[in-house]
This record gives sequence, C-alpha cells and structure tokens, in this order.
Amino acid sequence: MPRIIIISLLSLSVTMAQTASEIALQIDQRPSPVDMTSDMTMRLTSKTGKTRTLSVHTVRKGEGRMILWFTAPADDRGVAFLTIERESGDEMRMWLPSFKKMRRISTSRRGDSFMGSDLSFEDLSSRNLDDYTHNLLGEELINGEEHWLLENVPNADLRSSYSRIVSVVRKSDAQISREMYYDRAGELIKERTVEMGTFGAYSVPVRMVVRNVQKNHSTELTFTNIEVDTGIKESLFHERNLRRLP
Amino acid sequence: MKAALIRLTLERPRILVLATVAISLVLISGIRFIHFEDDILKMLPTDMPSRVIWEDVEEQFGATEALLVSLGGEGTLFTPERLALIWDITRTLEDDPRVDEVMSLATMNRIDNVDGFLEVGDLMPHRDLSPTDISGLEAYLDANPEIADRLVSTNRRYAMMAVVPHTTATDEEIAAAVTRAVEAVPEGIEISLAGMPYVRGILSETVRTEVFTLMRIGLVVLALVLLLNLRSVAGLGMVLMVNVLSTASMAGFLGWMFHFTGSDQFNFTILNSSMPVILLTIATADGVHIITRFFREMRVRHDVRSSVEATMNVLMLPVFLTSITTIAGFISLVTSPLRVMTGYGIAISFGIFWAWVLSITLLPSVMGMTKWNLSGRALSGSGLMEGVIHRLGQAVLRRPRTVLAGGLALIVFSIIGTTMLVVEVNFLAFFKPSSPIRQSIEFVDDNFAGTLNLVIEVTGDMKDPQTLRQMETIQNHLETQPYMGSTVSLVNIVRKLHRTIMDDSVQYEIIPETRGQVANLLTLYSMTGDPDDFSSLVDYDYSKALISATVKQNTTGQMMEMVAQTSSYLEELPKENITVRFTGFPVFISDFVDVLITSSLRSLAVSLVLIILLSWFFFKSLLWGALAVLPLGTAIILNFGLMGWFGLDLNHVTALLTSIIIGVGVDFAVHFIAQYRHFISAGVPREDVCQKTIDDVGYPILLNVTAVSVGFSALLFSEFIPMGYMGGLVIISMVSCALGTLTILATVSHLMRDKVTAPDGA
Repeated sequence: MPRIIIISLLSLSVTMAQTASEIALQIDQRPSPVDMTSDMTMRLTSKTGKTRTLSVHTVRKGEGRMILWFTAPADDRGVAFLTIERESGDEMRMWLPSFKKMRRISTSRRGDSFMGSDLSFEDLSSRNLDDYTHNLLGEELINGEEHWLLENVPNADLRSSYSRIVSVVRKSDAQISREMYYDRAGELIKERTVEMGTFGAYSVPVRMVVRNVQKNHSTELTFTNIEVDTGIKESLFHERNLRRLP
Repeated sequence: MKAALIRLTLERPRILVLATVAISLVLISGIRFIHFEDDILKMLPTDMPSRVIWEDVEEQFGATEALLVSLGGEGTLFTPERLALIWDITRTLEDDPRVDEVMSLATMNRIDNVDGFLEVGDLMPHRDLSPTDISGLEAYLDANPEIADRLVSTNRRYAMMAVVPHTTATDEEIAAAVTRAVEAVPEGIEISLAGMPYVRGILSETVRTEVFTLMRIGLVVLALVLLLNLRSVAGLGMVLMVNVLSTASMAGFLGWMFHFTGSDQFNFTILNSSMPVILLTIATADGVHIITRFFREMRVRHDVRSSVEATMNVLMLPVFLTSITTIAGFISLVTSPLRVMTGYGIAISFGIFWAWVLSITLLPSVMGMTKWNLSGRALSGSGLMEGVIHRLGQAVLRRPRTVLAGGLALIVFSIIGTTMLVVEVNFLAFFKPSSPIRQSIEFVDDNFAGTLNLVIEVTGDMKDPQTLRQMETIQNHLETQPYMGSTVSLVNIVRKLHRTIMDDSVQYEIIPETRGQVANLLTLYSMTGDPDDFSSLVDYDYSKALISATVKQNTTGQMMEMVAQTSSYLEELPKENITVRFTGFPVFISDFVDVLITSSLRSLAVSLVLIILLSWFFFKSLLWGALAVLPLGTAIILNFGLMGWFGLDLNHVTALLTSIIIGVGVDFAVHFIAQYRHFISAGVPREDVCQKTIDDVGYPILLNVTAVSVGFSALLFSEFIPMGYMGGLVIISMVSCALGTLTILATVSHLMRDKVTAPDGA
C-alpha cells in the first residue's frame, strides 16, 4: 500500500552546487507535520468541460494513517475512508452509510486513480530514494528564481506507471513547484503544479492542480482550515470512528 | 462561334494543344489532395437522427467502434503460452500511438470479494500466469458470463481483443498497425480480424488497389478492341488521350475541391471508385464518334483540313448536346441527401465538361496536325462492324412492329424482375464468400457475440434505481432478439458491485433499492478502480448512459427489420423520467437504404426531366425530347429487371448504374436524333432516313459498346462483389442502351416518321 502523504514539497535551504542524488536526498529529508487536519475540495474537470466537485474532511497522522469523511455532494455525504499502513500490508476500509456496512477494500495497482481524480496511488506515495535513479537535467530561471530540473527514473522492479518524472525544484528551499510525468511510451501524460503555504514550521500544499494532458482531464485540490501538530490520537484511526462525521 | 472554334483548331492547333494539356496537368495535380473515406456514417446527411445521435455519443463517451482481433487455435486458450501471447500483443498495441485503448484479457478488471476485501484488480495481473492463476481466471470468467462473452469464444479456444483506435488514426493506419502486431504469431495460432475500422481499412487499401488494377487491364483491352476496329494507332491514341486526360482531370478536380472546401462531400469513397468507369465510358463515346466520322470524311475527301472541318461541323452540336444532357443527368445528384453523392455529381459533371472541351479543341487540333497515311487501312475502306450495322438496320426496319413488340415484351418481363430486386448495403456482402476478409469477419461473428454495434442512449438520473431497472428491462428484451449478442451497461457494473459488497452472494446481483446505495457503490468503485473503466458507459455527471449491444452480421433486410422492431419496442416502452435514443451500424444501414432509394429515384426523375427539357429546347420539339429518353428509360427498366431476375443486389455502388445508363443512353440517343434530323434537313427521303441514320451512328455506337464492354469485363473478376456487378452491368447497360437506340428509338422514329419529319418535328 502506498503511503498516502505528500512529503516531497517541504523546504530546505540549498545554496551550493549539488549532485542529483544530493538534491533528491534533501527533498526527501524535509520536515513534515506529525499530524494534520484540513478540509479538501476536489474539483474534477472533464475534457468536455463538465465538472464534478466533492468535499472531504481529512485527518492524517505520520505517513501511514489517514481518514477521509465525505461531506459533499449530498449522495456521498457520510461515506468515509480509512487507510492504515502496516508492515503486514496496507489496510483500507470504507464506510457505506446507505448500506450501513463497513467494507475492506484493496487495490493491487499503483497506477489506479485515487477517488476518480488524476492522481494515482503512486503519485500520492512518498518516493523511496533507492527506487529511483536521479539525474540533473539542468537549471532554469523561473520568475527570477533559480531552479533545478531533476529527473527521477524508476527502477525496473518498481512497476511504475511512468518512464520518468521530471521535478522542477526551487534552489533556495529545495521545494518542488512543478512536476512532469511521462508514461511508459515516453510521452508526457501529467503535469502537476503545487502552491505551498506555511503553517508553523512546515510548508504544506494549499492548492494543487494535476492535468492529464493525454485525456485532457484535470483535478484541482484546494486545502482549507489546515491545522498541524494538534496532537491527534492514534485511536482515532479506527473503523468505528468512520461511522459518524466529526 | 462554332465556325470560329473550328477555324481556331485548324489554324492555331499548337496553342490549343498546349493550353488544354497545361490546364489538364494543373487539374491532375490535385490528385494528391484526394481524401479517402469509407465511413458509411459520413455518407449520411448531417441532420439524419442516427448520425446526430452517433456523433453525440462519440463526443460524450469516446469511440464506440473497435477493430476486433480473434486469437486462438486447436485446444484450450487457457495455457500459459497463449495467455502470454495475448499479453504481448496487447502491450504492443497499447504502445502504438494510433491505438487509444485495448480491451482484452490482459487489460480488463476483475472485481472480487477476497476474504471480506473488495478488490478491484487485473484479470491478468502479469504476463506469465501459473496454473493456479489460470484456473482462477477461468473460474472468474465462468462466474461472469457478461464479461466472458466479450473476451473469449463460447468454446474457450479463442480470445477477443478489441482495439479502439485513437481519434486521429485513420482506418488504414489502425488496420495496418494491428495486422503488423499479429503477423508474427507462432505456428498453430489462428488470427482473424473484424470490426468496421478493419473493414473500412481493408476496403481502402485492398479493394481500391484491386479495382484500379482491373481497370488498368480493362483500359488496355478497350484500347485493343478500338485498335482492331479503327485500324489506326494514331486514331486510338487520340481517343485514349481525351479519355485519360479527362478522367485524370476529374480525379484531380475532386482533390482540389476537397483541398479548397474541406467538405466531406468531396471525399473519395467506395462509390467514387465507379467514377473512372463512367467517365471512360462516356468520353470514349464522343471520341469514337468524332474519330470514326473523321475517317469516313477522309475516305471521301482525302484532305485532312476539310475532313476535320466537316466532322466538327456535323458533330459539334451532338457532342455538345450529349455532354450537356449527361451533365444534367449527373448534376441532378446534388439533390441527393447523401452528401458524398453531391460531390460525386459535381466532380463527374466537371469530368464530362472537360471531356467535351478536349473533344472539341484538343482532339480536332491533333487530328489536323497529324500526317495521315491516306492509303492506310483505316482510311481506305470500311470495317467489319460497319457491314454488320447496315444489316442490323435492314433487319430492324423490315419488321419494325415486330421488333417494337419484342422490345415491349422484354420491358414487361423486366418490370416483373424489378419487383424481385433486393437491396443489400452491408459491407460484408460486398466480399465473396471465399474471400479471406469475409471468412475472417464471419469467423469472429460466429465465435463471439457479434461484430456490429447497437447503442442505446438513456438520459435520466443514473443513480436512481428506477432508471437502472428500466435499462435492465431494455437489456433483457434486446438479448432475446434474433441476431443480438450480449448487452452491457452501467447496470451490469452496479449489480456486480452490489453482489461483491454483499459478501459475493448471488441473490444480491440486483440493482439496489435506494439512490444512496447506488451512489455509495459508485463511490466505492472510484476509490479503487479507474473511473475511466466505465466512462464509456456513463457520462461525467451521471445524467446519460449507454446500453451497448453487439449484433451479429446479417442481411440488410434482416437488419432493417431488427431496427424497426427495436424502434417500436422503445417507442411503446412505458418510460418513467427517462428518454431513450438509439443508433449504431444497423441503424445506419437502415437509414442508408431509405436515403439511397429516395436519392436514386429523385435524381433519376430530375435527370429525365432535365434531359427532356434540354432536348426539347435544342431540337425544338417536345416529341424529340421525349424520344431522347426512350432508349435510356427502357435500358433502366431492363437493367434493374435483369438484376431482379438474376438476384444481383442493389447497393450504393450498383445504384449508380442509372447514372451510367443515363450517360450512355442519352449519348447514343442524341447522336441518333441529331443525325436523323441532319438527314431530313439534307433532303433524304423519309423512307431512307432511318436506315441511313443507323448506318451512320450505328457503327460508332457498336464500336463503343464492344470496346467498353470487353474492356470493363475485367471488373467481373473483382473480389469485391459490387465492382464485379458493376463490370457486368456496364456491359448490360451498354448493350441495352445500344439496342434501345438502334431498335426501339429507330423503330418508333421510323413508325412515326410522318410526325417526326413534320416541320414542327424537325
């Protein structure tokens, strides 16, 4: 089960010339909140311009625990989703209020879409440095700020949906502002842009847009009411807590 | 005007030759812009409901047509090697930029309840499956027949791969890509291809190549027959020069028109394959008339200049009249609701116009510039056919009433035959039963759920169980209908999800009770599966859904019956908060037949009226106007009657036969009438006018009929049935038009000689 957390977006000052591996390491080592709550609005736009919007209240702790409560649309209100990463295997549970049933669910495919969006489970998982070969493609000046172009090529045994991912990394704080994903045929498939906000000692995403250029479909995620390190208890991540909206 | 033009051809021949050849070359250069298109949909009017619905559906749900690949052989499909082969071919196709999606065992999902987990996974999780994996796969397919029906044959020996082309890929490209991907399969593996993109791709590549090869052979044979009769290489060269330049200019004109307008009216479809046949036939007629008349004048005058002058003096008007009346016949196609027919009519009318220009400018110029050998066989004596035609004239005029009665009897016999005419426009029937293409399609059709597609679009609240239950009713009805394979819709997915979350209990393989439950199931799926998995079945905001049904190949008549029944079923079905529309290949076929028949009848009526009016105007006699359409009218009845008697199908290629008959028939009739009137004006006694006219125009008519008929008999050997019919029917058309002119028109004008020679008749 992929660790559903976005960790590659935190800042760290980097001023001296570095190798691709060192840049990747610095991105990986940035601090992340112990826990975080937020309200997320996901707006999906189809190639014909039709949109679908859903809202969820999210709570996460560390890299391996997360709950989503659906608050809108009305059809889905009350649906809740829990994921816990364990050594023995990942666990996903879903509460279906109309059936009054809890169901365990699973996916065997890293490339599968997450909640019908343009993000896949693979996109949401943290990247293990050893699973990729890193190459520094060059440097670029964007809006007066210097950036690295870092290429991440997945190792063959990773079974990635991508042939490579190119990250645009701001030199001043090693923050990724944009990423381009290339499919197995080497064609650009997705672009992701991220806007960060500062909460306490952390930089966390407040808005993210992912565009599938091949399907001409896009997903916009907006995070509001963000709170970090509020001391969320481990016991919250239990299926009994899915049954009622917080 | 006429005199000035004749003088110009004699005094400035080089300028005329250079100008006409240069313009022809500019026109011919448009050939590179010819756009091939064999999609039956594009031939339908843009506002035809089946086309409107289909285009809406494609915009909303993506391409619904796929190229179908069947793979298998002796023994079970479920071996590690064969499944690995399916995996490899699927991946090769998926990597091809012309392929949008492949649906096969190697790409489809499975929804399972595993130890209480709802799991959406791959039917084939990896290439090399273990015996346990394979047993699991077989068991899943056994338990899910609606999935199995679309992926494996009923005898479990063949697998189906449905290749959805990328929207930018042409049918030829996708057919070539798939053919390449499957060509290197191991020995013992049988591959069969089917589906409309394949048929169209093959039509474009194979059939057109074959038809054009046969036509080239036909042209050579036509040239040989002309040479034998004209006995002059130069004369033959001149006829062919006009033929080839005008035919190529017409093709180039079509290309230029597409280039400048971008209109799909100017696409080159399977219908347009008949254009060269028609124009060559018509252009040969005028060329032969001019050259044979010139030879006859030369035999008398022994002087090139005066012979050219005399020939063009006599033939300028009839050649103009034959051209304008034939153009009138073809331009009537612009009234056709079939879009491609309007372009066809315009292009072929232009071709006839250009053939006329070349016949009255280039041809006499070259004739005047050529150094003729007066002692040559062509110029020293009449040929065999000229004797034959004289005797034919004598025979006809000896017993005109008997000949006329015989002709009328034949017409009555033909009218009975027309009632037996069968319309068949399905592409499959265009291939001979022994054709590998047809066998391949029939194999896929027999072993799987069908190779054609019927799509029912339902508009309503797709999360409402009542809507889903109505869709289920429609699916259940469709599946009981003859020729119908399986159906699939959102209903199947919802039922399957319901069963899976209810601990895989079969009793829950039903539509849930409440809207919330349906919504929960769809959200559940979106958490694990790709939403694209059912984007081809339901739209983005769950307000529209498709029921996709496979249909087995059958005749046009059966398809029309099925479409009519489905239409009345859907109309009478009590509907609660839903609206229903349907479309698909069988509906196009059904609409196409209606349009084809309406179009043919309408353009035929318009042609006949225009020809009568033009002939009336130029011959200054309504009687001659009516007589001008007599041979072609009888020929049309005779041809369609014979088609009915011999069981030859009427389709969108053979329906154009009326155009050939009009083109050829009016040509023969106008030459006959013009010459008849010429003899009257020249003071030839009434009793002899008809015989002299037959002697005069009979030879070029007979030569034209013989050369074109023998030449285009090459088309009889086409693997493509309509083209074979076309070859046969061109012969019948030519012969019946000639007989109509030299017997019926001749006897009627002979019997009515007092009327037609009266001042108002002449």
